[in-house]
Amino acid sequence: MPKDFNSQLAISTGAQPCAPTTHHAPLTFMDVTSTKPPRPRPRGPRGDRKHTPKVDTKGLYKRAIKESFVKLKPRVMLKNPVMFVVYGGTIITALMTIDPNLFGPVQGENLRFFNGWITVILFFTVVFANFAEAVAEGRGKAQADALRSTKSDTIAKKLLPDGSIQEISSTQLHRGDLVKVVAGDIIPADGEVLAGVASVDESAITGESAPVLKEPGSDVASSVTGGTRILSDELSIRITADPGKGFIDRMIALVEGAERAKTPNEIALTVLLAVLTLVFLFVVATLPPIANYVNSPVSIAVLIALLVALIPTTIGGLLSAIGIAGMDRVAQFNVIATSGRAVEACGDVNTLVLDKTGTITLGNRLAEEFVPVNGHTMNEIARVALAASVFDNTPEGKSIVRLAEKLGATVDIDRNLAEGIDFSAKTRMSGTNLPDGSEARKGAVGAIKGFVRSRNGRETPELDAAYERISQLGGTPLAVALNGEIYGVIYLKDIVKPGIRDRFDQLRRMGVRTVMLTGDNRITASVIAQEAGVDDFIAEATPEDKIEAIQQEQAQGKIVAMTGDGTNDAPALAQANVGVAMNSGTQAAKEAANMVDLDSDPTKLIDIVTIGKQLLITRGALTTFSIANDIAKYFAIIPVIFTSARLESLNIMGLTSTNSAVLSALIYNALIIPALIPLALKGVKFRPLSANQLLQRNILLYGFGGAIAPFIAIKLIDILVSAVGLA
Amino acid sequence: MKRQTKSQRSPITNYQLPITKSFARAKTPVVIFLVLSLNIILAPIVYAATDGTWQRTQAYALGILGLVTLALIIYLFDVVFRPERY
Repeated sequence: MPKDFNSQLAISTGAQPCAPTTHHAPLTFMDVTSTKPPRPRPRGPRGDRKHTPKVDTKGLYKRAIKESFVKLKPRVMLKNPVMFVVYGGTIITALMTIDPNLFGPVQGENLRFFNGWITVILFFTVVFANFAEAVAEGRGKAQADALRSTKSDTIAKKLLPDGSIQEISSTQLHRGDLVKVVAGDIIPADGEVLAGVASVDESAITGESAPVLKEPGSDVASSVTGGTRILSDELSIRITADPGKGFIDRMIALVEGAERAKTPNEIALTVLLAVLTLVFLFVVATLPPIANYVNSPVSIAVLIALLVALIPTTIGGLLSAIGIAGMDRVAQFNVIATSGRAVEACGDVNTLVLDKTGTITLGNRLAEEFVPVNGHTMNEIARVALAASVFDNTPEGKSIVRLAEKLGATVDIDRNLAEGIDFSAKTRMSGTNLPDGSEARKGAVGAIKGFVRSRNGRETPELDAAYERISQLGGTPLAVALNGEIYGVIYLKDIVKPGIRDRFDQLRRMGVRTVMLTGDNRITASVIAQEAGVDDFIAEATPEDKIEAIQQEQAQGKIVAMTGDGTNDAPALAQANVGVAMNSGTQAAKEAANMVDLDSDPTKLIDIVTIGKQLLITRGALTTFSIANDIAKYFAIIPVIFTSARLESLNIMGLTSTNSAVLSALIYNALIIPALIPLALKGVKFRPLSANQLLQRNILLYGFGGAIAPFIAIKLIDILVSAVGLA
Repeated sequence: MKRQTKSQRSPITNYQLPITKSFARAKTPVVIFLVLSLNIILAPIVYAATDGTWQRTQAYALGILGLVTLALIIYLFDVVFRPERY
């Protein structure tokens, strides 16, 4: 052991080696594979945060009732083909209430009363469908208002080319304008920091109370969002969004439903519903000649009732509500989606490309063990590691200090004379220059080898053995050296997030493949991948590898989702079908992505996939239910209108009369819409099952259930209708 | 510079009579007019097909109902072929 070592690292008690000093710039030794500073992460359980900002739903239903009548305008009704047909039917039956014989002589008693009831029920079917849409829109509007409250018009200090400051309203700011904000100001619009360092309170949009440091040139800390408040110092910002075109504005437009374009899935379903409506319209329109032939003439009012009972009114009425509610759920999760298409694509995702750090493992790696080499003792390596880490304020550095102190090592260094050496991507090591000129270093094994060689020291095969052993354990090996002497290796343990394995298992059951990307070496990556339970991994990955990985998956016809925050992630975010950018990320990343997570939590991608799948499953389940309902309605109406054709045996529900059967089927048809509104808004409960298991389960529940439930409900309504003497 | 009026800019369209302009713009009344006109041909056919128990007004109303059904069918076909518009 060199003599100067003992003189420098004199054992003492009560030393505070990890306390930061003002004499040295903060050191940033951390990831040997990444230069990014740790990303601020929201704290506390997500359940507490996901509803920020709070949505005010007071008076929602009152407004929705009013809105459901306003939506009766024919121009609005035209947008919903199924309901437009019901609307047309309502008008015709209303005319037949005034004159039951309008379209030809009809036999029967109390025709006005019967036609009147059909009109009322059909009218309410339309109103209920409008109500479902109005409630979903109302919730979206409330969500939008909550979002809007985060951005209030403020006075911005615009920097003019001559250097003077002009005070203008924030709504007059345009892309490219320069503004200055000082402590206490609200940042007027989305922008990029050009100069200054300041702490910003982003709690208005993220719900995270800890202030975030903003500075220019950094990948993760240079973008600011309008509506957030600057707490200290001042910043010069270049505005990156025109008025009304910021992220929040885009989300407001989307959740309000004002600019809601139909998603591909909705378009496909609209076509299916229109085709079904067409088919039943043909069936019903061609029924009178057959009915006349079997001497059972059917009135136009009953034909309209039959048509309305057969067309898929349930899904037709709830379709837009399901879509709006899906967007609303995403917004409640504090994620800004730029299109409904993106949310829907989440439901079809086959592959998730995830960064290791922060998503799969906790952002901070902790020192687990010292492995001495070259015949050094544990105490010696602990002291050198401690000396190399005294100025290191990163979580990793602090954990090394803690471990060394636990082993009884302490150092007594005059902090005014010692100098901290910063970590850089080029040197890949950090450490301390001690007052006597000795150099304590820790860093990537290759870098330390080079350092030792340059000091005429010698390498040892023991080092490579320790490096391999630690890599095989899934840890990051950091070599420790003092001048030309290698003392050993620090085992930095990567901690896989608790519960992440279960989530990947869930995703696998759902048929989603997970790919982990990491800058770590292959051995470490494979161990972490195995521990976390991901399906595949890409080690020593560069940003270009991300795009390649995504393109490879897409070439196989798969839909890929990924998260990212840096400018170098932007091309990959644009390439992915679902790109989720972190709010703490750069403007370029946010613009390339189709979703922005305000909480900057990369694991949320898994939740978004769940929401997307839930949206698709809800739509599918209600469509199945709506079509399955037809069977019961068919059995209710057809046997009673063809009485002379002796179809009594088909009247398995034993319905009292033609009129009561028609009214019961229609009442059921109308009431099922409001009954299913909560399900449409909340979504079918999501279970992490495979596509086949989900299909079987939903066919059983909503298909079989949808066929059986109306039989019981229509029978009960029939008993009620007969009892009160309606028919 | 003095602003040009619409008539100065397009002398050809200036020949359009005001009634034809508003005729082209107001689609609903035109559709109603065409349906009623078409029904003048259709209603007698419906009336002829009945056994004499029907009144003329009933045949006329049924003719309109047939045309409305046809319009609905055309509308639904439009939804099927151009769903993104709805």
